[in-house]
Amino acid sequence: MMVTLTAVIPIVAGAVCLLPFGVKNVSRISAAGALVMLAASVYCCVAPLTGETIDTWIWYVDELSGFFILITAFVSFAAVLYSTDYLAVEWREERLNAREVRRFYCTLFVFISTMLLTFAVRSAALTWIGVGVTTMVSAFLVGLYKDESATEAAWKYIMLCSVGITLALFGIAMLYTASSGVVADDSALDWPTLVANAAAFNPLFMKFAAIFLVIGFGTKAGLAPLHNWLPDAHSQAPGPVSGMMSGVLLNCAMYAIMRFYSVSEIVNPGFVRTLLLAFGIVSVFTAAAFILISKDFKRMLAYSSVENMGLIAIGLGIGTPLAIYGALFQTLAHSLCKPMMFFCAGNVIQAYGTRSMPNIRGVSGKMRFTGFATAGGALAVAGAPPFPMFVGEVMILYGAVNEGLYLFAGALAILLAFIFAGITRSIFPMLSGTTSREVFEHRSVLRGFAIFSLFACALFFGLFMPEPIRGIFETMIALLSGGST
Amino acid sequence: MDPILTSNLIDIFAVSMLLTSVLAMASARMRPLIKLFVLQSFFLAAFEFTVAYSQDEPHIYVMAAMTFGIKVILIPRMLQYIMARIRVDDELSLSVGIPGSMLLSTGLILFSYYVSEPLVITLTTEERNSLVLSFAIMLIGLQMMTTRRKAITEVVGLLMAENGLFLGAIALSNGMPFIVELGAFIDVLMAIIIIGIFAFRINKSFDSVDTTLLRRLKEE
Repeated sequence: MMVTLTAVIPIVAGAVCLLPFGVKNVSRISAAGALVMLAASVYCCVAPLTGETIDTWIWYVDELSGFFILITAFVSFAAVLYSTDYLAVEWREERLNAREVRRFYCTLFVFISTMLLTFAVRSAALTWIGVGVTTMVSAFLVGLYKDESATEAAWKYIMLCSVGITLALFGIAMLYTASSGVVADDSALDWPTLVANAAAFNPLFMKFAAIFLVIGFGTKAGLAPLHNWLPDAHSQAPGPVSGMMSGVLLNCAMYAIMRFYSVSEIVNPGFVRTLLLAFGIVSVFTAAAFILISKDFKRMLAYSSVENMGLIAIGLGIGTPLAIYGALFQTLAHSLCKPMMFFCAGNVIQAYGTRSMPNIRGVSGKMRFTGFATAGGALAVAGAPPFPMFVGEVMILYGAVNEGLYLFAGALAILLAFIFAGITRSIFPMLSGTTSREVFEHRSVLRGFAIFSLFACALFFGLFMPEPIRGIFETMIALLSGGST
Repeated sequence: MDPILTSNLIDIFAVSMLLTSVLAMASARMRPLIKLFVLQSFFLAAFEFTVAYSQDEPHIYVMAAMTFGIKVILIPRMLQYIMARIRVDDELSLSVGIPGSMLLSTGLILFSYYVSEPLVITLTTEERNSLVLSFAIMLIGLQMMTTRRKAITEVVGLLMAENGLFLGAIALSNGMPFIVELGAFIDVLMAIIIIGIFAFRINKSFDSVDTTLLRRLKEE
């Protein structure tokens, strides 16, 4: 009941946003809607995170789902707060009209709802449908500015992700075949049933399912070499949407891979792991190469998302409890740091009117708050201590070394060093120096609060790991390794 | 009906689907391409109907009806409407010529035989041989998406790959749970509507739906 409500609240809020109020009122309504959505999600996740799995109707919320739902709700809340002022500025400067703003909020809320739904359902089929629908809905957010580049980005996004979704469906068909005869038809494809009966599945079909699902959902998660849509879509979408796509949308596909991973590891130990390791290292390598040459602020951040998805895949691929811990922690860290950095980028780009990093100088002097936040965010995204991404990266590296993958760990460490250098080299020159441009910082309480809350959370998890939260992580590790350890 | 007759019919329909895929790769014009897609979807519907009849599986009848309604009637109409509105040039621009495409398709078909052989022997359904064809149709669909440059051909390639997917899903296990099939159809339908909207926008901002124009976003 509570879960249904959580999924329905954003849709109601979105529908209300369509009513013909003025832009200011719509902003207020959406901020209130986001607050209610966050409250409902938190309330709904308390029971699962304390050990009482919700298992009603089509819903199934355990620790893993709860973890992802909480991240999604929190980041979406921050993104809506950020949007209120961001879009108001876009509207004042006549890049968007009032009707487009209303439609934007409606689409945004439907998008949030589909993401929450993806995490909360019991059946693999519904997870698949959820991932598919998020693509369709967010395509409109990517193509919000109806100019050439936004249209191009949205088109690539739909086509590539549709292919991914089709391949993933074939993977689901294979999974169903592997489980047929073992699982009763009315509970077929339910994640908990699949895990419970996995030992008797047909291993050959599970291998094919693994290939199709990892490639299919991997496309949506932005794993190289199928990441081509990602830098385009993330750089063309408006600031708050880029943050959400990077911070939470990629998680949807990763979550599907994780769920499948826990089934597949029981049937064919090591098979998915090898696939994920390969995709992961290719992703980190590609990201490192493009981060070094990228001149566009948001494209560089988008490549950093490819890197992080690669790291999560590597953590899962190593598969020891420590490495899985690293992968989950990296998920949390990435979901907090990357949206915050995209919001800062949104501030900078809105003030300077360009995304090209060599043309942006003197941010610290002109925009105090943004300059400070960008400096912190750059360090966080690049993976410097005391920010959580550093912790996640170290855990994954340490996991690789413990497993005896010395060469692999060495290569990964060098690539991470390159990425660190690339990000800091591009961002810090923007902060210093002087500019001849007329720059005006768009300040508002909500905008600052969105950035600050994400930053504070990131810093908190970089420094502390409270005992109850560690317990949740340990349960999730047990879930991912098939409940055996 | 005689079981031998139905199993022959099943094979004939499945092979015809592959044949239309190969023909689509050989076509250099847009209108025949859409006709071939209609034909392929029709064969898929016929295939599903025959399977449903011979296995006595009522939910595959529903699938056959949905395939017929959505893929044979609705989607081609929508594609034709889009093409008429944005006045697509009938000529296709190929990045790999027709002989090259034929060779590639042959390679893909051989590859699918090689890959799916171990799967086919473990399957128990009557239409298991179609699995090989479904792999081939999916791969050829993806090949069309990558070697043809018009936006509409990308869409047709995707739809053809999806036809292959449905063929494979039935060959694997007499169809998936109903919710998956329903979701898949809704997904296709939504994709087409949204693709249509963006095709209009591409047409508005680029004066053409040639996707070579869609290559501007990249690292300089």
